[in-house]
Amino acid sequence: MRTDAEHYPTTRLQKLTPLTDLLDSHRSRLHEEVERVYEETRTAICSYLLHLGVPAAQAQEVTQDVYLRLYQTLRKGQGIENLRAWLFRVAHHQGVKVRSREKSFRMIDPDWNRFLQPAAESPERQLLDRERMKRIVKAMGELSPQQRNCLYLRSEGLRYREIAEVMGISLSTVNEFLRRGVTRLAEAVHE
Amino acid sequence: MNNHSHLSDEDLLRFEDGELPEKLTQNIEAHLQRCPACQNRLQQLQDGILAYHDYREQVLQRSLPLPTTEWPSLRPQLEALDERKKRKKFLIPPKFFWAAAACACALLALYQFAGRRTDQEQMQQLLTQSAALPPPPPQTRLLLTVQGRRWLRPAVLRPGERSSPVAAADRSTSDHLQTLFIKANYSWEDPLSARSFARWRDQLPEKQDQVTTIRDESGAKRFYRLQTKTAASLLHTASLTLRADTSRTVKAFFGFAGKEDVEMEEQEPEEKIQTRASVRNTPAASPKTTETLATPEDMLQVLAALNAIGADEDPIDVNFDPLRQHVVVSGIGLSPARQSEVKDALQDAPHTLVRFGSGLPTGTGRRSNPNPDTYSANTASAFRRRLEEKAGGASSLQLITDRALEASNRLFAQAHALLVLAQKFPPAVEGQLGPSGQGTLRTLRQRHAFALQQTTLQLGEALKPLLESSSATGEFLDNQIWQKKAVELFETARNLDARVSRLLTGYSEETGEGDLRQLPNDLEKVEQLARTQAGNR
Repeated sequence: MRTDAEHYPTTRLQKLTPLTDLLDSHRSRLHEEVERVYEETRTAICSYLLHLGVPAAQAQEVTQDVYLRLYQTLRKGQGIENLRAWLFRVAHHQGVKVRSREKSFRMIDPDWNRFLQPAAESPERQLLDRERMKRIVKAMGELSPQQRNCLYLRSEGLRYREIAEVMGISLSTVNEFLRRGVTRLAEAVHE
Repeated sequence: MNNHSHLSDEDLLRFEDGELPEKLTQNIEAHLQRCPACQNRLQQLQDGILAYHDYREQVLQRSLPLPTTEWPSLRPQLEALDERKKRKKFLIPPKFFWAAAACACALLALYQFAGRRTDQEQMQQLLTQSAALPPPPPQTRLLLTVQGRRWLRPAVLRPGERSSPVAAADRSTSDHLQTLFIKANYSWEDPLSARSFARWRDQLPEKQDQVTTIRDESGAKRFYRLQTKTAASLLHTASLTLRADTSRTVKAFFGFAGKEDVEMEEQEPEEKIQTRASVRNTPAASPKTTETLATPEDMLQVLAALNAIGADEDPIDVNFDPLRQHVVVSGIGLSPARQSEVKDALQDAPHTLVRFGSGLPTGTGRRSNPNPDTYSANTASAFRRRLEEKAGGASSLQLITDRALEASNRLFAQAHALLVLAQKFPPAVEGQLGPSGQGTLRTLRQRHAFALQQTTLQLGEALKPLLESSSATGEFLDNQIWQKKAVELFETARNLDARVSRLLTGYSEETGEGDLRQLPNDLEKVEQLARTQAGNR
């Protein structure tokens, strides 16, 4: 017959092992989950950072930081209601910080004309398309950075309220920025 | 939405984006079915949306390509985070705290003792490495800083050559420094070299050495700072900063007992500065890299030239460079055509460098609401309806909004231009200007002031349908100098701009009425302040 003293350590281990297993398996599942989100959404986040003016050399690293923040938040047990808006919001903050440190902003390539693919249609059509895009680029250059950001996030499929959260502005301001942006572009197209 | 008028762009856009409540969506659908004008307008907005889509796909994405390197896995970093968290959990039990603290102190003392020996050895090694390097090219210059004065001299003085700053005061300081260096037995001819430092250090009977590793602001470059302190010399502290990759000295510091501290920094050879400037800057005339200093008159000439082409309201910065050899005109986000206009206007300005970065305008984020309200559709639309009634319909309100925001934006820029003038020419600097300089400054100030008055009137005119009659008292202090008034004017214009923006884009029930009441006072105040600037001599 075994005494209490003999089987005590075993009992303690038997109680603890499932708990550590549980923690390890929870951590492992969280790793997998964050990796999955990272693989699915990193391109969109990285593109947004580039659009914000984060230098290309840093964009990948800043993108990773966003997902590390995600992991830390989830590990603390904090819930995230709208993951996509959350990712853009963190990316926005990180991007603005990096950009202000760098003190440099990037804009579209001045020689953007070379990107336009010649359409299969007539040379006249190509010329018209080129002229149209020229007016659009000019109009975009006349918008404020925040108006451009609103348009970008809208085209990412974010709702107005989500855009407001990402940029830290009010919903009505988002309405106004989008209205001004789209109206200006409409004018440019119909000039 | 008013059934008797057309739909606003905002409502149409929100309808297009599915951002409206169901009831309102149904109303708009019904309206669109019977209103060809609104159908047409919706089509135009859809064209605008399509235009952005095309722009993003064809221009933006190709201008900002994604990194081509493969995306690294997150797994190692996630595991590192876990490890870090585990380590943080390690805490010293309270009963062992004092024992642990005592151990830590003992270790620290041991480390410092050992470190001193290591510092001596490391310093010796670094000095030997650096001393073995060839001397710097003859064009290399040193920037000397003593008590806020700065001037350039050759890095290495040839026998008999004198370091001769331009200004008389700097010349006398330079001669005084030479005497100090000679007394301290430190080479004045080649003060930045490791050889000179080693010769001075070797003769000291007692000294304390310290070697520290530092990085530049970007964190990309690593440097060693070698510092020796002694009580046995007039020069009690000397330090050299060496680049870690090349062992080349780039900076030095000298502390003399009871005297001023001296800093020296290596400057790139002139050819390099010229080459880089010719790539980055734009002036048609080649910039002069001389030791003559740019003057407030040069700055004034630049500001006047910018004012002449209406560019002083553009996002352009005008500053002296650190050596004060040039007035540097920089800006980002200007169109190539505007950049070209600015370059042409500054072609003949002396000591001027123009540097335009390609990039988005920085923007001040002025349009963003600093205290974003929680959006409430009911209160917002109720207040907006009242504004629409005052304006005479949704489309009239839209017109007022566009005009007012544009005028307010211009007003802010003009007030900022006046503020820049006040900051660049405080009373002390203004007093140094000659009669013609003072005349130019006055003219510039008055031009800004007239422009401000005009824009204030335009803004008041645009907002008139929304405002009650003014109740401004017009009591403003008139015994201030114009520079202080310019600051007050700028602050008032900024508040006014924020108020107009909040009123016409926020439609907040809570702040809207207050803003409406306050606007006439703000307008009156800006107008009066601008008038005093225009008349102020």
